[in-house]
Amino acid sequence: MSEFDEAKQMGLEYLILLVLGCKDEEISMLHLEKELFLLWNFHPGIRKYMKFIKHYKGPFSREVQECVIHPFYLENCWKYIPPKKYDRLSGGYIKLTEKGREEYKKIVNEILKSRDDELIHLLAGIKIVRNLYDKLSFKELLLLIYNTYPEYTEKSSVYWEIKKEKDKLAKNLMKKKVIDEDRYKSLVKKYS
Amino acid sequence: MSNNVDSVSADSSFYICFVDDLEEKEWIYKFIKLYSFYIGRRVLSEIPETLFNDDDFKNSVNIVDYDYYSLIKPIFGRNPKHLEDGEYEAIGIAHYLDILGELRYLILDDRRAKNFVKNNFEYLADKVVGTIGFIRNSCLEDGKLECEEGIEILNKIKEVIKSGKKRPLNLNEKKCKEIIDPIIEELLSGGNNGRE
Repeated sequence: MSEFDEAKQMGLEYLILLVLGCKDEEISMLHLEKELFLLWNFHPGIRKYMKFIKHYKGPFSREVQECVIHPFYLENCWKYIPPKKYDRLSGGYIKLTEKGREEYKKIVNEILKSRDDELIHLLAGIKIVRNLYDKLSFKELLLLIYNTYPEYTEKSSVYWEIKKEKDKLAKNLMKKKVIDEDRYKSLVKKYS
Repeated sequence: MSNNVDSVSADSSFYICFVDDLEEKEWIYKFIKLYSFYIGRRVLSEIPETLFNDDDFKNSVNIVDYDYYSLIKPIFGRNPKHLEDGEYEAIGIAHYLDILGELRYLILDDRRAKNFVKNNFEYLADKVVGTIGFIRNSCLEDGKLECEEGIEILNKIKEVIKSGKKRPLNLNEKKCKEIIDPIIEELLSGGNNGRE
């Protein structure tokens, strides 16, 4: 690995750690990936760490997947649990270990101590996406992502299935108070 | 800029109320001296031009350059009417201030935005106030604004609403009675909040 690639790998591993540590709950690979995609759109400082391409389940990053499954710098900080046989959507689950929790606390304390504005905005962004999107089911999350970024429906293997269920999914989102009636209507009517 | 627990993130309705509706730009200056205000690019683009073009104002507030709306975009979709929704940017900036332990108030007057915080970011709920609540708290909770000044502002809001020319904060006379009158009463009995 070149020095540049090493720095990129390390940066991405720490970014993943920050997302994982924000909540005391495991997260699916699908959620992690889509939340990182939104953060990638939000924060220019992290764009160099990963790329997102159109894939079977919306925006996908090979770099993220590789870092999650084979971390180099933050080995044993999280555990990746592959998806079960009939689980086509989750992509598996990731859970922070005790070592990861300690590392997370350490890095957040350092960020707060340094008052690094860029990183504090990143922490704020992470807190927002985890609180907003973790509670969504896989299909609800994909419905919102496909509808907002229609270019990522190309190459999708689950898009038609989600389209068929859009009314039910949109209704669930409204019940969960995630979306309002305007958005409900836009999802049901305009989603194509 | 000062670093303390007196930081405020406000939606554009706060600035519009004072500058366009009440025509009292000076009160904005008063508040930005009392608290540390943070403002994002979207809110900045929504505030009245006289304020936007005022270098003194821009030099006195903290301008934030992150597009927080992009994180929330899937919740509201691509509808162009939401593209300029500054309240969601204000909510994002409130997260930043909260992480720093400096958030005092998140000023939102829009009911939808307030509900959005309540439903999704419970940890911020006790920091959310409307413009009227902010004026109240500034007098009674923080002791930063004199009660007389608070009463003066609230009476001006009532006066403008009564004149029928404008509707600051989207309030009507009925709402005035329900919301503003009890606060004026409270401020009248609040004296100087223990200050000399």
